[in-house]
Amino acid sequence: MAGLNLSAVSDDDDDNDQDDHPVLSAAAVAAAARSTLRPPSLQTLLEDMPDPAAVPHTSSSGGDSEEKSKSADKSSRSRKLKHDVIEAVNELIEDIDTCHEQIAEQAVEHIHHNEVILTLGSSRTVLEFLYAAKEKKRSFRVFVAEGAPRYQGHLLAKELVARGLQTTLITDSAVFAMISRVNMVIVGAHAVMANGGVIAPVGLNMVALAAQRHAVPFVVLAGSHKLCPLYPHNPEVLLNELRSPSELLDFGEFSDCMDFGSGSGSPLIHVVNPTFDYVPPKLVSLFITDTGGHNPSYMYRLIADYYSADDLVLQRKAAASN
Amino acid sequence: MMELEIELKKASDSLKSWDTTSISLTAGCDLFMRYVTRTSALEYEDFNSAKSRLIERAEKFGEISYKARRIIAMLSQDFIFDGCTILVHGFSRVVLEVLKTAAQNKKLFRVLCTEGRPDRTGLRLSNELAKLDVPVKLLIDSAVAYSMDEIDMVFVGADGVVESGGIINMMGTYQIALVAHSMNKPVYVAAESYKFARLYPLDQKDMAPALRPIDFGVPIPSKVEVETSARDYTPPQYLTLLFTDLGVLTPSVVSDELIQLYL
Repeated sequence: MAGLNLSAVSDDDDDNDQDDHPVLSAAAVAAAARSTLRPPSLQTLLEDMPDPAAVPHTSSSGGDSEEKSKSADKSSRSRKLKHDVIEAVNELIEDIDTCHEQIAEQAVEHIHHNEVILTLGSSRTVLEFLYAAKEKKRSFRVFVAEGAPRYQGHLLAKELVARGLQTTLITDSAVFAMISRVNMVIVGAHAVMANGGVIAPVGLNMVALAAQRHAVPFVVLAGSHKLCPLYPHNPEVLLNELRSPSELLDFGEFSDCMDFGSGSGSPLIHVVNPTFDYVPPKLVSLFITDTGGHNPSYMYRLIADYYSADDLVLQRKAAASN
Repeated sequence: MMELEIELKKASDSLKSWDTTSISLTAGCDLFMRYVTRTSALEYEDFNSAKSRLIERAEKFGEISYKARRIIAMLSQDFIFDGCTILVHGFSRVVLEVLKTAAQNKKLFRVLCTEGRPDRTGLRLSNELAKLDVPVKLLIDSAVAYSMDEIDMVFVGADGVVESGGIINMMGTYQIALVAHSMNKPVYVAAESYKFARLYPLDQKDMAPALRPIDFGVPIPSKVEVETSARDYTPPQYLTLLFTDLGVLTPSVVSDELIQLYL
């Protein structure tokens, strides 16, 4: 039904209605085309149910006896829908809570005796992963790159030592120098894109390149809630965050160069502090998610499992004309 | 009912026989047949409802295919940024639509077209682009590697998209994809979904041959052979993304989509 609605409108109407996001509306139409051309899935069959968004309008009017019985019928349906939604959200919350354990369970398969693991910055998933391997009596060493400018690697190193792991702390610049001594790189991710690319804390693209150069496996740990259905066309700019320069320079240092009042009125020195890096899929050897280990080229499948193609774009539907 | 299906098949076969080498025609006909007849209405006794259902599905298919180019053009807009240089090979109406839409959205970009010997596709394409006021530069086919460092992305259409996720396109596409891959430039393919074919070429010669004569301008001695194949196969590892009316796909997704379409 949704597919028929979208395609019944002409191209011009589409552009006018969804003017601010023509690309997203094209994606919605593409998704509709996809679901039309395929054999009907359970999703599309369930969509035949009348639109529950129409319910609040009818139940608030009351009055007419016919409308009352209709609204009672619809309110029980809306109650069921509410129940389903709450259940689904609870499941999602549970997934997010347990993802660390499920990923950590696979640690034993990947970390072997006398291995040297490299990581950068700090990630709770990585910490749990390494700890799980330690629990299973694997003896291994960890190199932690400090992860300037936030230096969260220092925190990770402290935690690892507290749990009894042999740790070495290095600067980010030393990664290339030390990578030849490393057996595997294990990192966390901020988000995983639909093409298998990774949005990760800054510095990890460099580590991935170093790993590729020295044929070291680059393993990314990501819970399934980090999967994103978007394709990165300009990830360094669009999916990045620029943080405060105070993390690099203390207030007071360079204040004369950064002052807008000095000289020609614009500062000669700019400080850029990006939060994230984009790691292209060809540099990633393996993704470990709570469902198991996967190839980067397989991530689209996981995303298709978690996101129905129809749900990639949330749109207001005009009053359903079923 | 059976008679109806037989008629459909006859019509499809006669369409296909018009150009036996065209992959998109064959694939399109097959997909259409599959889509139209995949309905339980064919098992009902009521002939009229079955007929109207078939016609409904046929029109739906036609609508999706007709709108395909617009959808592909919209999906690829984000990938064309201001100040970029695009290399185009072959004359594809889908790619032309992509570039037209980008020009209409006031994006600043320039296009390098390969000459496209012997079909002169570059000349036709540059004519069209000049009408849109898009800066165009023509290259001879051998100048692709020479110009590759100033290029930001490669855009090609496809005659057919095969099961491995690779494409069959005008001769020269494979060459360009190889050069682009070695210099880390993305190769984007714009193809409608009805071009997805149930083929799996293992090498360049593993396809039905499509030959066309080449005119060198001077007479060639009879002992000299000429390679007259019109198209080549580009393996999936050299392609970055495919823009289709079913969405943006990586080459590995293609086989999944194919299974869904042909089920």
